[in-house]
Amino acid sequence: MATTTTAVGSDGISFDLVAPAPPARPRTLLFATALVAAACAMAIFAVVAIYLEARHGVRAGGQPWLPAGAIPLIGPNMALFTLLLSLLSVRWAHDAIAHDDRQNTWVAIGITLLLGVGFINADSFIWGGLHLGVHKSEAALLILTAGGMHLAMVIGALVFLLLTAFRTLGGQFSSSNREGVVAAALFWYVTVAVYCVLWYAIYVTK
Amino acid sequence: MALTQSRSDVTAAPSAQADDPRPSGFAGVLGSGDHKVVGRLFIATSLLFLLIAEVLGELVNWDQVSPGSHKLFKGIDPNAFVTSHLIGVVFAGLIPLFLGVALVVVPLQVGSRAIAFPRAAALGFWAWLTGVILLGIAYGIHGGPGGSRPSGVDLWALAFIMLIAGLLLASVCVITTVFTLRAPGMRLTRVPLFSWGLVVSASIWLLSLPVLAAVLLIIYVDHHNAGIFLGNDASGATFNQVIWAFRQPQIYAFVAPVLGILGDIVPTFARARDEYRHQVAQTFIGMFAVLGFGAFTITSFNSGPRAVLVQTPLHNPVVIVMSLLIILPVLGLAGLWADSFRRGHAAGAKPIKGSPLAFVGVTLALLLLGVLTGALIPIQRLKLNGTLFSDGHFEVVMGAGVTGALAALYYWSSKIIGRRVLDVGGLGVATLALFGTLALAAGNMLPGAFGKGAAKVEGTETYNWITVLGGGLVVLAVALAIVNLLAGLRGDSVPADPWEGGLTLEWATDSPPAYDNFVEVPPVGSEAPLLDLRSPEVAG
Repeated sequence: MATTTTAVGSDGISFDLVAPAPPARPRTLLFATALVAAACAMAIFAVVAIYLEARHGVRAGGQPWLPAGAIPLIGPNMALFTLLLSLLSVRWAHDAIAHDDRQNTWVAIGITLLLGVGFINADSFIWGGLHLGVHKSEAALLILTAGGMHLAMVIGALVFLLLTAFRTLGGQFSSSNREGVVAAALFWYVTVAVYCVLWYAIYVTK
Repeated sequence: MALTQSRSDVTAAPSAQADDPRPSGFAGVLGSGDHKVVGRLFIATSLLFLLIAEVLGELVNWDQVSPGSHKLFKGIDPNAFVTSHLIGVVFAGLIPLFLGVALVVVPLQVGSRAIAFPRAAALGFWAWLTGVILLGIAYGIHGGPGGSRPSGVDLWALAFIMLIAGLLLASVCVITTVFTLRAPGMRLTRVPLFSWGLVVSASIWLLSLPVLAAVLLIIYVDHHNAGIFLGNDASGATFNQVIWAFRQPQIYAFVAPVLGILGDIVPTFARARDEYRHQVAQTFIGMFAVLGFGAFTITSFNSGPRAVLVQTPLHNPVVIVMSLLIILPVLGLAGLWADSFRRGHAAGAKPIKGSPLAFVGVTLALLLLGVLTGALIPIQRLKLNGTLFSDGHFEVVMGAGVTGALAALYYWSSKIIGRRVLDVGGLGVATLALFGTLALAAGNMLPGAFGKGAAKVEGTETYNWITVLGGGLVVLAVALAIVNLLAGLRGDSVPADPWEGGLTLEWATDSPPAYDNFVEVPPVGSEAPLLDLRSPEVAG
């Protein structure tokens, strides 16, 4: 509620000083980010569901789905660990901007970007070691499709974080308006959550 | 501000024009972020594509009049025309038409001066338009499902994904506007039914269309590489993987916004306030949209030998229960709206007569027919799934969607084109659409029900001619609606509320609305803020 104080001008006329209402915070960006993240997650989960269903069909017919030892788990584990580590740095950015600590916000977003690039490197290493041609194997086709879609999501999240970093650098975000940082963090959280599903459904249970 | 007000009229006018940063003319249309301009672009192009899609469907009907011999497509795969008709009606016609009306009307209804992310909404339009054009090119170079040119099939899949992405982007803008940019006092339970219907429908689209896009991506990767899943697609098996998007329950989600449209028209025309029934109607509309979520009926990639347009896996208990439950919200809403007219009559109010009301009757009748016949399809003993009966069901539900969308165009024409469209023309369109859709339904459903299977065979010639007649009437209806709207552009200017009884905020703005919609947003204290202003003693 706006508070009112009465003041008297030099001409003797009294008038009300009304404190400005706090700016509206409709969380438009945060809401839209949540919707886009949900749509991206649904698309990747659909490929995972098709993967599981196709795998079940092949195994039910007595055929092996993947050759033994086709995907060593160490690569996906490292990729997952990289992303889990990035959750801490994103949370750090979130907290830093809440305390108007822009320097720490930049550092935290920078570390997240670095970890994201590290994840892309790990992912390409995994794919390189698959030794299953997309021309020959249903499994490889679906793994590469799901992985590719997730990679696109990671790249989108990195671009979003980069833009957020630039905007923070320009002074657009502060403790009273940190929606952009929170939205970028939310998208990153969903990206990591989606990879957790991929990691378990594809790489662990193979 | 005060300085501007004190200037003389002579100097103020050119100055205001010079200071106006908005581009005008062609650049103003192409580069506009005004939600009304983007919405009109969606409406104009989707109406054109809807007409083309209906013409393609009618060509297929002509081609199949005599089973076994193609009248038109000798040496041409008619499958391309079938699939382009289905995709055209749903993704190039109906959904963008709903989104176009929503982009114009929803910000006005919720008391917002703009849509959330106007540039993203414009990007959504251009992405969708590019996708539709590329899809047309793909069909033109013998691509599409079963196409003879592999690069054309690849282009078809990618263009379809692009089209979906554009629609989803526009959907995000509409949903975000309703959730975050509502006027003070407008709780979610007070959101007008069209906006509410769009929110729940678009939410279901956001959860189901990415699944369709993912399937299309797998189709692209598979087809572009080895064809492990689908082979070389010589038989058009590709489309089998996306047919679930054109069958129940998913098609119900695509037409769910019509319930919101009807829900806004009825109280205005019945001169009756909804009060607590508003929230009941919101619940029914939400229920209808949720029961239209069909991404889980996706066709298996492991289903063995494939044929074109085979049945979707509807024979499971969940789909059967959903098909039965979805009748309830439609019946419930029909009851609520009948009660609105009864209460209006009891209060001595004279209902308004006009073409939107005719569209309401036609849409509701077709939707009821759609959900009732749809409940029969999953029953395995009847053997209707995958037959012509399913095709007839699609035509009925889409007919309801098209008439509902046209109802919106006639009802909100003063906000969309700034003029009122002729009532006589509207009545003609509604009548043609009703009889055309019923004939299309009869021509497909009856042979399907009598065990004639999925294709037109010997002994169905009479039904085939009925289908041709129905398709022709639907084409005429859409063409007449377009002509009617174009003729309406030449009409006289209209007041803010041409119905003289509008209940929601869009009727407080000029016709057509100004750039930033409202000079001052009226206070919102109920689901019918304008009625509160007119009759403060009955304000809820």
